[in-house]
Amino acid sequence: MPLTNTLKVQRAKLGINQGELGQLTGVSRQTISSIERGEYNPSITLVLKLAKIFNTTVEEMFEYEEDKINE
Amino acid sequence: MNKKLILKMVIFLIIGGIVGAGLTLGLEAGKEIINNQILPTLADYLMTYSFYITIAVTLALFIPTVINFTKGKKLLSKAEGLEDEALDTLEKEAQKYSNKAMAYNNILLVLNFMMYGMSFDVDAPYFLAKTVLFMIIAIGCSTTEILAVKLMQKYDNRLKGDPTSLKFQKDFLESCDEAEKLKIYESGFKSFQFVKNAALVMVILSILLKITGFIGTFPVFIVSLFLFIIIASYNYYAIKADQ
Repeated sequence: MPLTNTLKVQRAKLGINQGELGQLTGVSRQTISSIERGEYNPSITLVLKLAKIFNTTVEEMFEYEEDKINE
Repeated sequence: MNKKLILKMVIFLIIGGIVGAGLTLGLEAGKEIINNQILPTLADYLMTYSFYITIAVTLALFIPTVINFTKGKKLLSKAEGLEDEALDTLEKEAQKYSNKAMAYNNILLVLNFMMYGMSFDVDAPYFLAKTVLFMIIAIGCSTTEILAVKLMQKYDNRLKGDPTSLKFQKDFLESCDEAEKLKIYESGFKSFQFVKNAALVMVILSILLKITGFIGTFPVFIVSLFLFIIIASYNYYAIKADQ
Protein backbone atom coordinates (compact mmCIF):
# COMPACT_ATOMS: atom_id res chain seq x y z
CA MET A 1 0.00 0.00 0.00
CA PRO A 2 1.52 3.38 -0.95
CA LEU A 3 -0.39 5.17 1.85
CA THR A 4 1.22 5.45 5.28
CA ASN A 5 -0.39 7.02 8.32
CA THR A 6 0.21 8.29 11.82
CA LEU A 7 -3.16 7.23 13.13
CA LYS A 8 -1.74 5.17 15.96
CA VAL A 9 0.34 8.12 17.16
CA GLN A 10 -2.59 10.51 16.91
CA ARG A 11 -4.76 8.08 18.80
CA ALA A 12 -2.15 7.71 21.53
CA LYS A 13 -1.95 11.49 21.86
CA LEU A 14 -5.69 11.58 22.46
CA GLY A 15 -5.48 8.59 24.80
CA ILE A 16 -8.17 6.50 23.18
CA ASN A 17 -8.15 2.92 21.96
CA GLN A 18 -9.23 1.57 18.57
CA GLY A 19 -12.71 0.67 19.82
CA GLU A 20 -13.32 4.19 21.13
CA LEU A 21 -12.05 5.75 17.91
CA GLY A 22 -14.31 3.39 16.00
CA GLN A 23 -17.29 4.57 18.02
CA LEU A 24 -16.40 8.21 17.40
CA THR A 25 -16.14 7.70 13.64
CA GLY A 26 -18.97 5.16 13.30
CA VAL A 27 -16.79 2.31 12.03
CA SER A 28 -15.71 -0.97 13.58
CA ARG A 29 -12.60 -1.42 15.71
CA GLN A 30 -11.32 -3.84 13.06
CA THR A 31 -11.56 -1.14 10.39
CA ILE A 32 -9.49 1.27 12.52
CA SER A 33 -6.98 -1.54 13.04
CA SER A 34 -6.85 -2.23 9.27
CA ILE A 35 -6.25 1.47 8.54
CA GLU A 36 -3.45 1.65 11.11
CA ARG A 37 -1.78 -1.42 9.63
CA GLY A 38 -2.06 0.09 6.12
CA GLU A 39 -4.29 -2.73 4.93
CA TYR A 40 -7.24 -0.51 4.13
CA ASN A 41 -7.33 2.95 2.54
CA PRO A 42 -10.22 4.88 4.10
CA SER A 43 -12.67 7.02 2.16
CA ILE A 44 -12.32 10.82 2.07
CA THR A 45 -15.33 11.13 4.39
CA LEU A 46 -13.71 8.92 7.00
CA VAL A 47 -10.34 10.66 6.64
CA LEU A 48 -11.99 14.06 7.18
CA LYS A 49 -13.84 12.72 10.21
CA LEU A 50 -10.55 11.46 11.65
CA ALA A 51 -8.86 14.80 10.98
CA LYS A 52 -11.67 16.58 12.82
CA ILE A 53 -11.46 14.23 15.82
CA PHE A 54 -7.68 14.61 16.09
CA ASN A 55 -7.89 18.32 15.31
CA THR A 56 -5.24 17.98 12.64
CA THR A 57 -4.86 18.05 8.86
CA VAL A 58 -5.19 15.12 6.47
CA GLU A 59 -1.55 15.58 5.42
CA GLU A 60 -0.46 15.27 9.04
CA MET A 61 -2.20 11.92 9.30
CA PHE A 62 -1.71 10.38 5.85
CA GLU A 63 1.22 10.39 3.50
CA TYR A 64 1.39 9.04 0.01
CA GLU A 65 4.59 6.96 -0.27
CA GLU A 66 5.45 8.47 -3.66
CA ASP A 67 5.83 11.83 -1.88
CA LYS A 68 8.66 10.32 0.18
CA ILE A 69 10.39 9.03 -2.97
CA ASN A 70 10.18 12.49 -4.58
CA GLU A 71 11.63 14.23 -1.53
CA MET B 1 -8.82 -8.37 -31.97
CA ASN B 2 -5.19 -9.41 -32.37
CA LYS B 3 -4.08 -12.64 -34.05
CA LYS B 4 -2.62 -14.07 -30.86
CA LEU B 5 -5.97 -13.81 -29.07
CA ILE B 6 -7.85 -15.40 -31.97
CA LEU B 7 -5.31 -18.24 -32.08
CA LYS B 8 -5.66 -18.73 -28.32
CA MET B 9 -9.46 -18.89 -28.63
CA VAL B 10 -9.25 -21.39 -31.51
CA ILE B 11 -6.85 -23.57 -29.48
CA PHE B 12 -9.21 -23.47 -26.48
CA LEU B 13 -12.15 -24.40 -28.73
CA ILE B 14 -10.20 -27.33 -30.23
CA ILE B 15 -9.13 -28.54 -26.74
CA GLY B 16 -12.75 -28.17 -25.52
CA GLY B 17 -13.98 -30.14 -28.54
CA ILE B 18 -11.44 -32.93 -27.96
CA VAL B 19 -12.27 -33.15 -24.21
CA GLY B 20 -16.02 -33.10 -24.99
CA ALA B 21 -15.70 -35.77 -27.66
CA GLY B 22 -13.53 -37.91 -25.36
CA LEU B 23 -16.02 -37.62 -22.52
CA THR B 24 -18.94 -38.41 -24.84
CA LEU B 25 -17.18 -41.48 -26.24
CA GLY B 26 -16.21 -42.60 -22.72
CA LEU B 27 -19.74 -42.21 -21.43
CA GLU B 28 -21.10 -43.96 -24.51
CA ALA B 29 -18.74 -46.89 -23.94
CA GLY B 30 -19.64 -47.18 -20.26
CA LYS B 31 -23.36 -46.48 -20.78
CA GLU B 32 -24.47 -50.09 -20.36
CA ILE B 33 -22.60 -50.61 -17.09
CA ILE B 34 -23.57 -47.19 -15.67
CA ASN B 35 -27.24 -47.45 -16.68
CA ASN B 36 -27.79 -51.11 -15.79
CA GLN B 37 -25.48 -51.65 -12.83
CA ILE B 38 -24.01 -48.57 -11.15
CA LEU B 39 -27.02 -46.21 -11.16
CA PRO B 40 -29.68 -48.76 -10.05
CA THR B 41 -27.39 -50.03 -7.26
CA LEU B 42 -26.71 -46.47 -6.09
CA ALA B 43 -30.40 -45.56 -6.23
CA ASP B 44 -31.36 -48.72 -4.28
CA TYR B 45 -28.68 -48.04 -1.70
CA LEU B 46 -29.83 -44.44 -1.32
CA MET B 47 -33.50 -45.37 -0.98
CA THR B 48 -32.79 -48.08 1.59
CA TYR B 49 -30.21 -46.33 3.74
CA SER B 50 -30.89 -42.60 3.25
CA PHE B 51 -32.33 -42.30 6.78
CA TYR B 52 -29.15 -43.71 8.36
CA ILE B 53 -26.88 -41.82 5.94
CA THR B 54 -28.65 -38.57 6.90
CA ILE B 55 -28.16 -39.30 10.61
CA ALA B 56 -24.45 -40.08 10.05
CA VAL B 57 -23.94 -36.94 7.92
CA THR B 58 -25.79 -34.84 10.51
CA LEU B 59 -23.61 -36.11 13.35
CA ALA B 60 -20.45 -35.65 11.27
CA LEU B 61 -21.34 -32.04 10.46
CA PHE B 62 -23.47 -30.76 13.32
CA ILE B 63 -21.00 -31.74 16.07
CA PRO B 64 -18.13 -29.73 14.49
CA THR B 65 -20.61 -26.87 13.93
CA VAL B 66 -21.45 -26.77 17.65
CA ILE B 67 -17.81 -27.22 18.73
CA ASN B 68 -16.54 -24.40 16.49
CA PHE B 69 -19.45 -22.12 17.38
CA THR B 70 -18.86 -22.65 21.11
CA LYS B 71 -15.11 -22.09 20.75
CA GLY B 72 -15.72 -18.81 18.90
CA LYS B 73 -18.29 -17.70 21.48
CA LYS B 74 -15.94 -18.52 24.37
CA LEU B 75 -13.13 -16.55 22.76
CA LEU B 76 -15.33 -13.49 22.23
CA SER B 77 -16.40 -13.59 25.87
CA LYS B 78 -12.74 -13.03 26.81
CA ALA B 79 -12.49 -9.86 24.70
CA GLU B 80 -13.46 -7.39 27.40
CA GLY B 81 -10.56 -5.28 28.65
CA LEU B 82 -8.01 -6.58 26.15
CA GLU B 83 -5.45 -4.34 24.43
CA ASP B 84 -5.93 -3.58 20.72
CA GLU B 85 -3.19 -5.97 19.50
CA ALA B 86 -4.49 -8.83 21.66
CA LEU B 87 -8.03 -8.09 20.46
CA ASP B 88 -6.89 -8.34 16.83
CA THR B 89 -5.51 -11.83 17.42
CA LEU B 90 -8.51 -12.95 19.47
CA GLU B 91 -11.09 -11.65 16.99
CA LYS B 92 -9.28 -13.26 14.04
CA GLU B 93 -9.25 -16.58 15.88
CA ALA B 94 -12.94 -16.24 16.82
CA GLN B 95 -13.78 -15.34 13.21
CA LYS B 96 -11.96 -18.46 12.02
CA TYR B 97 -14.05 -20.66 14.33
CA SER B 98 -17.24 -18.86 13.34
CA ASN B 99 -16.48 -19.28 9.60
CA LYS B 100 -15.79 -22.98 10.13
CA ALA B 101 -19.03 -23.43 12.09
CA MET B 102 -21.04 -21.68 9.38
CA ALA B 103 -19.36 -23.72 6.63
CA TYR B 104 -20.24 -27.02 8.35
CA ASN B 105 -23.76 -25.75 9.05
CA ASN B 106 -24.38 -24.70 5.43
CA ILE B 107 -22.98 -27.94 4.02
CA LEU B 108 -25.31 -29.86 6.33
CA LEU B 109 -28.29 -27.77 5.21
CA VAL B 110 -27.55 -28.41 1.52
CA LEU B 111 -26.85 -32.14 2.03
CA ASN B 112 -30.07 -32.43 4.03
CA PHE B 113 -32.08 -31.05 1.11
CA MET B 114 -30.16 -33.26 -1.33
CA MET B 115 -30.65 -36.45 0.67
CA TYR B 116 -34.33 -35.79 1.28
CA GLY B 117 -35.02 -34.74 -2.30
CA MET B 118 -33.09 -37.60 -3.91
CA SER B 119 -34.62 -40.28 -1.71
CA PHE B 120 -38.13 -38.82 -1.67
CA ASP B 121 -40.65 -41.63 -2.00
CA VAL B 122 -43.88 -41.77 -0.02
CA ASP B 123 -43.88 -45.57 -0.17
CA ALA B 124 -40.23 -45.96 0.90
CA PRO B 125 -39.41 -47.28 4.41
CA TYR B 126 -39.07 -44.66 7.17
CA PHE B 127 -40.66 -41.97 4.99
CA LEU B 128 -42.32 -40.24 7.95
CA ALA B 129 -39.17 -40.50 10.08
CA LYS B 130 -37.13 -39.12 7.17
CA THR B 131 -39.51 -36.17 6.82
CA VAL B 132 -39.35 -35.40 10.55
CA LEU B 133 -35.54 -35.67 10.48
CA PHE B 134 -35.39 -33.40 7.43
CA MET B 135 -37.47 -30.76 9.24
CA ILE B 136 -35.44 -31.01 12.47
CA ILE B 137 -32.16 -30.56 10.57
CA ALA B 138 -33.53 -27.65 8.51
CA ILE B 139 -34.81 -25.90 11.66
CA GLY B 140 -31.56 -26.70 13.53
CA CYS B 141 -29.37 -25.25 10.76
CA SER B 142 -31.50 -22.09 10.49
CA THR B 143 -31.46 -21.64 14.27
CA THR B 144 -27.67 -22.02 14.36
CA GLU B 145 -27.33 -19.33 11.70
CA ILE B 146 -29.66 -17.00 13.61
CA LEU B 147 -27.68 -17.59 16.81
CA ALA B 148 -24.41 -16.81 14.98
CA VAL B 149 -25.81 -13.51 13.68
CA LYS B 150 -27.19 -12.59 17.12
CA LEU B 151 -23.82 -13.37 18.71
CA MET B 152 -22.11 -11.10 16.19
CA GLN B 153 -24.64 -8.33 16.89
CA LYS B 154 -24.24 -8.74 20.65
CA TYR B 155 -20.49 -8.38 20.28
CA ASP B 156 -20.74 -5.41 17.91
CA ASN B 157 -23.99 -3.49 18.44
CA ARG B 158 -23.45 -1.38 15.29
CA LEU B 159 -24.61 -4.36 13.24
CA LYS B 160 -28.36 -4.22 12.71
CA GLY B 161 -31.06 -6.40 11.21
CA ASP B 162 -33.36 -9.08 12.50
CA PRO B 163 -32.07 -12.43 11.14
CA THR B 164 -35.62 -13.79 11.04
CA SER B 165 -36.84 -10.89 8.90
CA LEU B 166 -36.93 -10.80 5.11
CA LYS B 167 -35.28 -7.38 5.25
CA PHE B 168 -32.30 -8.76 7.16
CA GLN B 169 -29.73 -8.68 4.30
CA LYS B 170 -30.58 -5.06 3.48
CA ASP B 171 -30.58 -3.86 7.11
CA PHE B 172 -27.39 -5.74 7.91
CA LEU B 173 -25.53 -4.39 4.86
CA GLU B 174 -26.63 -0.84 5.62
CA SER B 175 -25.27 -1.10 9.17
CA CYS B 176 -21.81 -2.28 7.98
CA ASP B 177 -19.03 0.30 7.68
CA GLU B 178 -17.19 1.10 4.44
CA ALA B 179 -14.38 -1.47 4.94
CA GLU B 180 -16.86 -4.22 5.79
CA LYS B 181 -18.99 -3.34 2.74
CA LEU B 182 -15.91 -3.48 0.51
CA LYS B 183 -15.11 -6.98 1.82
CA ILE B 184 -18.72 -8.09 1.20
CA TYR B 185 -18.71 -6.68 -2.36
CA GLU B 186 -15.32 -8.25 -3.13
CA SER B 187 -16.34 -11.69 -1.92
CA GLY B 188 -19.74 -11.30 -3.63
CA PHE B 189 -18.07 -10.59 -6.99
CA LYS B 190 -15.60 -13.47 -6.61
CA SER B 191 -18.45 -15.76 -5.67
CA PHE B 192 -20.46 -14.60 -8.73
CA GLN B 193 -17.54 -15.38 -11.06
CA PHE B 194 -17.08 -18.80 -9.50
CA VAL B 195 -20.78 -19.72 -9.64
CA LYS B 196 -21.04 -18.48 -13.23
CA ASN B 197 -18.12 -20.69 -14.33
CA ALA B 198 -19.44 -23.65 -12.33
CA ALA B 199 -22.90 -23.24 -13.92
CA LEU B 200 -21.30 -23.10 -17.38
CA VAL B 201 -19.45 -26.36 -16.69
CA MET B 202 -22.74 -27.88 -15.48
CA VAL B 203 -24.51 -26.81 -18.69
CA ILE B 204 -21.77 -28.39 -20.83
CA LEU B 205 -21.86 -31.55 -18.72
CA SER B 206 -25.63 -31.75 -18.95
CA ILE B 207 -25.46 -31.38 -22.75
CA LEU B 208 -22.90 -34.22 -22.91
CA LEU B 209 -25.12 -36.39 -20.70
CA LYS B 210 -28.11 -35.57 -22.92
CA ILE B 211 -26.15 -36.49 -26.06
CA THR B 212 -25.16 -39.82 -24.54
CA GLY B 213 -28.74 -40.46 -23.43
CA PHE B 214 -28.21 -40.49 -19.66
CA ILE B 215 -30.61 -37.64 -19.02
CA GLY B 216 -33.51 -36.00 -20.80
CA THR B 217 -34.11 -32.42 -21.88
CA PHE B 218 -35.40 -31.12 -18.53
CA PRO B 219 -32.08 -31.21 -16.58
CA VAL B 220 -30.41 -29.33 -19.47
CA PHE B 221 -33.18 -26.75 -19.31
CA ILE B 222 -32.87 -26.41 -15.49
CA VAL B 223 -29.08 -25.86 -15.44
CA SER B 224 -29.27 -23.53 -18.46
CA LEU B 225 -32.01 -21.56 -16.69
CA PHE B 226 -29.79 -21.40 -13.60
CA LEU B 227 -26.91 -19.97 -15.70
CA PHE B 228 -29.30 -17.51 -17.32
CA ILE B 229 -30.60 -16.31 -13.92
CA ILE B 230 -27.05 -15.81 -12.61
CA ILE B 231 -25.94 -13.75 -15.62
CA ALA B 232 -29.24 -11.86 -16.04
CA SER B 233 -29.40 -10.89 -12.35
CA TYR B 234 -25.81 -9.61 -12.42
CA ASN B 235 -26.52 -7.55 -15.54
CA TYR B 236 -29.76 -6.23 -14.03
CA TYR B 237 -28.00 -4.98 -10.89
CA ALA B 238 -25.06 -3.62 -12.92
CA ILE B 239 -27.48 -1.56 -15.07
CA LYS B 240 -29.39 -0.46 -11.96
CA ALA B 241 -26.15 0.66 -10.30
CA ASP B 242 -25.22 2.76 -13.34
CA GLN B 243 -28.51 4.68 -13.29
